Amino acid sequence: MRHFSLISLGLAALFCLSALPAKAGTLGPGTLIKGSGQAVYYLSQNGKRLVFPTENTYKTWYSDFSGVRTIDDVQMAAISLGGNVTYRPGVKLVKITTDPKVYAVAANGTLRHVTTEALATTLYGSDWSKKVDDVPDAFFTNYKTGSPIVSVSDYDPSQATTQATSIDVDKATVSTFPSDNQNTTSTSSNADAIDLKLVSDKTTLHVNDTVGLNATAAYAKGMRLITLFFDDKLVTTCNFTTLCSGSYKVPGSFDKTTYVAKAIAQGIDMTEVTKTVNIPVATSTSPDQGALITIDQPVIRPGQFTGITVETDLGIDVKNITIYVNGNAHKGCDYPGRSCKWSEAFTGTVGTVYTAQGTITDILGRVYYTAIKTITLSDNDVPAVQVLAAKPWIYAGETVDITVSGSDQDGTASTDVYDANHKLLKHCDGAALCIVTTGPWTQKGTITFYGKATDPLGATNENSTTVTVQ
Amino acid sequence: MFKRAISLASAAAMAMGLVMPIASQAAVTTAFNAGDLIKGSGQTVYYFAENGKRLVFPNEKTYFTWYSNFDGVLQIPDYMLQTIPLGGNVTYRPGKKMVKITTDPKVYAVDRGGYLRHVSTEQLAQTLYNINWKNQIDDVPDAFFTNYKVGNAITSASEFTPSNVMTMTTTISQDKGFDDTVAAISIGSTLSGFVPATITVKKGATVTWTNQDSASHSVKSDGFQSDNLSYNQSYSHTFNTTGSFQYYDGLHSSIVGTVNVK
Repeated sequence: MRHFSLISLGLAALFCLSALPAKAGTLGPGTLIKGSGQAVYYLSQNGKRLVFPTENTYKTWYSDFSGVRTIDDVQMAAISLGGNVTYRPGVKLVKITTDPKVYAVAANGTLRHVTTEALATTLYGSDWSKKVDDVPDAFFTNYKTGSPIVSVSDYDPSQATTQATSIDVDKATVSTFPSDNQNTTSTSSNADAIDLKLVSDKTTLHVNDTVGLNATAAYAKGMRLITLFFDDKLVTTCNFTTLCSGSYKVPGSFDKTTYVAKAIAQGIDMTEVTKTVNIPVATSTSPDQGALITIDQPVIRPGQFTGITVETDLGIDVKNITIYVNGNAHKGCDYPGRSCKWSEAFTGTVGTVYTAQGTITDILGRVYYTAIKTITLSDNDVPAVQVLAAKPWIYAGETVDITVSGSDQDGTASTDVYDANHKLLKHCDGAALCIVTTGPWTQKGTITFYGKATDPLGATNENSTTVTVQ
Repeated sequence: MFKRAISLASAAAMAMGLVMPIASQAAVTTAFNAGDLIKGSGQTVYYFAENGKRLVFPNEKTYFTWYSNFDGVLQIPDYMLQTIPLGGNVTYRPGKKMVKITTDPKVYAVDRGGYLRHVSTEQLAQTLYNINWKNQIDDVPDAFFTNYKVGNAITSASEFTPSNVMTMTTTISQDKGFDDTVAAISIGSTLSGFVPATITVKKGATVTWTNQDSASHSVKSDGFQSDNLSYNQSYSHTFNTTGSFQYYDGLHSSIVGTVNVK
C-alpha cells in the first residue's frame, strides 16, 4: 500500500517542540518515542504506543522532552496505538467545561468528585482553583468515574502521585474505589479486554487445501488457553501462551459456500473472547483480488502456440507464481516478480477446450487464485493483441500514447484503439502498429484503454491496459 | 457540588468537541428525546442517547459524516446540560468515509459499532470508494483512535459494501447498538429537576431514572413509585399504555416531569 500524505487534522496529540537527535539502542517499555513528526508516544509494556491527548496530560508525568527517542517512521507504523494516557494521579484537579463538578484523579484514570470547596482547600491548598484543568469533552471518555471524596481521609494527593511511578504502573493499578459506571456504554474503553487476532493463510478455499490458522492474544492479566476451530471442528488447543497456530485439511467436496474459522481465547481469570474469520469457497467467477490471468490467443488452431500470463498488482507480496492447465502445474516462477508467462503448443481436435488458471503465493504463504480461463481449439485462431501505454502513469494534464498491435497466422486485417467507455479512438488497417495520442487527462485516477485486432477471416480478440493519472 | 463556576483557561487550544456556528440560536426547551442533538448556551453540540447520556462529537468531520447542517439542534438550559453525564464519543458514520492515522499508512473502512476494517489493497479501496478513493480518507487524530475498535480486514469487495452499511446505520443510536425500547432520565438538583423534563417514548419502552445529584430524590406518580434514590441510584418503569404521564419527586414536590407514550 502506498504512503498517504493527506493533511492531518493535527489537533489532538502532543507535539514535542524541541527536536532531538536520534539515538540508537533498544526500545524498552516506558520509553518516550517520536517519529519524524512531532507527536510523542509512551511505549507501553504491552508493546503498544500510548497517545498523550493533551500537553497538560504530558506535563503531569514529565517536566521536559529530554528522554524522547526518535525512531524511524516504518518502525513507528509497526507499533499499534494502545489508547490514551490519563493524568498522573494527585497532580491536578480536572473538570469538563459544561459541568462545574471538580474531580481529583486517582489510579488508572479514575475520577473522584471533590464534593466541597473546603475539601479542595484542604487537599490542594488555598490556590486549589489554579490547579484545575479543563479536560476536553472528547477525552473525558478516557476516564472512569469512582466514588466521590467526602472526607479528607478518602484521598491523599501526594500519596496518589508517589504510587504512580510510571504510566504503565498507573495503568496496571486496579482501582480500589468502587466504579459507578452504572450504564456502561458500548463506547467504554476495552483496554482491559483480551485483544485477540485470528489470521487464515487462505483467503478463499479450494478442494484439498490445507488452511493454516494463526491466533495471537494480548491480555494484561495473562492467557490461559487459546482454542482454534475450523467449521466448528477442533483444530488445536494451546495452553498458557499468547500465540497459537494450527492447520486443517478442508474436505474433498464442499457443502457450504463459506466456512468459518474461529479462535476462542480464555484469560487467566476465565474471561473469554471469540474471533471468527469467514473463508469463502473459491469460484471460478470470483477470482481472488489482485490475481490476474490473460491468454494471448484464447482461440487457436490445433498445434498452435499460445501464451498464458499470470500476474498480480501491488497488493500481493509475491513469493512464487504457478500456472496450471487442466489442473496440472506447468510452470512455476520462483522469483519475486509480479508476472509469470508460459507458452505452449496445444494439440487436439477442433473443439477441444483446455482450462488455464494461476496461483500466486505470497511471502506469508497465502495462496491467491486467478479466474479460470479457457483455450479453445478451432478452425481459425483469433489474433493475439497487445495494448501498450507509453507510460504506466502520468501527471494530471499530460497526454499518453497508446499502441495496439495484432498478430495472427493469417495476418492482421485491422486494429482499433478504444477508450474506457469503448468509444473508438483510432482505427488502423493492416498489420502496422496502431498508435494514438490520448488526453490531456485531467481527472486523477485510473483509465483503462482497450485494443482490438481482427484477422482477415473476421475473428477478433481484445485486450486492455491501464494508465494511472496522479 | 461546587456552586462556584470555575473558569480557568481550557486545557489546550485544540479539539474540544464540535462547535457550531454562532448564527443559529433557538428557543430554550426542557423537552427533548433520545436521538436529539442538544446544546447549552455554549456552542458545543451533543447527541442525547437512549442511555440518558450525552455523546461528544470529537471533531467537526465526525459530525458531518452524520449530519449535513445544524438544523434541529435544540438548546437546553445549562443547568440541565450539566446534569446529563457524558457518555463517550461519537465515531464516524459507517461506510461514509475511510480513515487512517498520520503515523501508519494503513487505510481503514469504518464498520458498524465503530469497528475499523483494514482495506488491504489499493484496488479494493478503488472498488469500494471509486477512483476518487484517496479523497475519501480522513486522518483521525491519534487521541481519538482509541474510540474505535479494530475489526477484521476487508480482503474482498463482497465483504463490505459502503452504501449498504450506510443504509443500515442511519442514526448514531443504531451505530451504538441502542434502540427505542429504552430511554433514560437524569435527576439533577432542585434547579434542573428531571432531565429532560418532558420526554416522548414508544409504547412498551422502559424508562430509567438515575439520580445525578448529591441529595436524594424519588420518582412518584399515580401508577408507579420509586424508593428514595441516593446519588447514582436508578429506578425503571415500563410504559405499556399510551398516554401522557405526569410524575413528580416525592421528596421535592416542585420537581415535576412528563412521559408521553405513543
